[in-house]
Amino acid sequence: MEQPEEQRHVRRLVSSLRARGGVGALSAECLGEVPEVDGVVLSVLAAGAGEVMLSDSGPFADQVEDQHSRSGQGPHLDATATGDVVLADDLGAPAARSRWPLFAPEMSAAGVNSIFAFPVSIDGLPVGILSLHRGAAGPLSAAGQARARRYSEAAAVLLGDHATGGATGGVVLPVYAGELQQAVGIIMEMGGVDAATALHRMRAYARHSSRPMREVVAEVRTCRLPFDPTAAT
Amino acid sequence: MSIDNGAGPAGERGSLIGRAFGEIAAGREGDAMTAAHALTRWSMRLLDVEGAGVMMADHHGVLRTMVVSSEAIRVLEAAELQAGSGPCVESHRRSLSFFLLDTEVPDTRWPGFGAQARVAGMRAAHAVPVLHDNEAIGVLNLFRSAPGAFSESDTVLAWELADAASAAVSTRRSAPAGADAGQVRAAVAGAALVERATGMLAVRLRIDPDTAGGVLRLAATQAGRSPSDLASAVISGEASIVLPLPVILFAPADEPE
Repeated sequence: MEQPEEQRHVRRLVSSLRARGGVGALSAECLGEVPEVDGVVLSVLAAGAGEVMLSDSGPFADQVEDQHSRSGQGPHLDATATGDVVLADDLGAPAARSRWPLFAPEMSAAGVNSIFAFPVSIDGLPVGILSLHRGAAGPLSAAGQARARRYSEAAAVLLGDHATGGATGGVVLPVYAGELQQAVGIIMEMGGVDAATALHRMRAYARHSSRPMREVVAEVRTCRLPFDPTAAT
Repeated sequence: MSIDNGAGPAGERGSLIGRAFGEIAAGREGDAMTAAHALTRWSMRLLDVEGAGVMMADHHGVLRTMVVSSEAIRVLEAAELQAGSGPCVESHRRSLSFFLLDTEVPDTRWPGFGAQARVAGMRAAHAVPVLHDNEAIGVLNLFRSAPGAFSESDTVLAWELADAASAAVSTRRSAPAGADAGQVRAAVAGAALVERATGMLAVRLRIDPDTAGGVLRLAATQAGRSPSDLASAVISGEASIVLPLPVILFAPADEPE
């Protein structure tokens, strides 16, 4: 069986990720290993705090996340609900449009035509999602699927570490993930809105102004907002 | 009565059974959920049953439903888990197989279970333990809408299917155990709430986010609460933090001469 070898692969991956920044580095590392896609997102369905993005890579990550939370549909939500991998290789196709009538057309209009969602599960219970996406439609290769699966298993191990490791101060988010949540808090306070709306307004501003989300987050953190946080988008 | 369950000639059934074992064992490369899904799906297909479900114990040994064949079975299993009484729960507890052959006949072993099963439209149940080192780590629950005994061939096949799942699940369990799913989700939520509250405080107190984070943690220590607890109260408006933080001076301890 290839089982012991596969476990060795995952263990090796976990140690190398630990050395390079843990879950914060995972999306970029995964994108490097699966160059056939354009971006990767790792997020956790955090009880009471909604979906929390831990790392991302590629220009579309925020739009993919945003569209899931706006529409309440999409491969991420199906994958976390069922615990199964969801491979959506053509979001423009009728099958995808009928499965996710709100999500699929928006996503393909935004230029993302395939999303491959791998649940991150602990003891078989999904805690989050490792999602690979691409502008072009088309399947994810078998090698790409195997690598993505391996990264999703590594993510589960790293998340288990995180949660048990910081018993005193609680879990520490990766640097950018923490800054993003601080920016959410700043918009919540200035705009008088809830977390989901705050995050959406930042993402919508970044998209319409064609600015990288990281730049917008950095600017928001200085409390000088580049947009009106009270204006509905 | 046919033992083929409409699956065609015996040869075809044999190849279906081969596929079933292959797919259940494929959980080795996936996770416990993959094995549980395959076990439920193939039990429904190969056995003369109208309902199936797989329960697995979590890290704390608490039995949970993982996969069910229908909403009615999910409701039935939830009721059984809550009552802590019924063939499935008992099978996990004692690592043995249990039958209930007619839910309309009062059974002193599990007084409430028969009625719950009838609500789900089921008249007979067979709970098969998923064993690892002779100890149940989960249960395969099988239900029939007609009362009466389960055929011997079905009974044996159910045991074999559960064994295949056991091999798949127990290899996954040998992975280093960290926190469970609920702890991970709660920990990430707590961390996110701390950062959001930090951002809110930065605006309110007109300080930079790094300082605001320090203020939040210090205030939590002074209030004797966890940072995520206080953060959640700040976000909901149930707590506010004002500067300067109160300074509490303790009387110096008596120094021995």
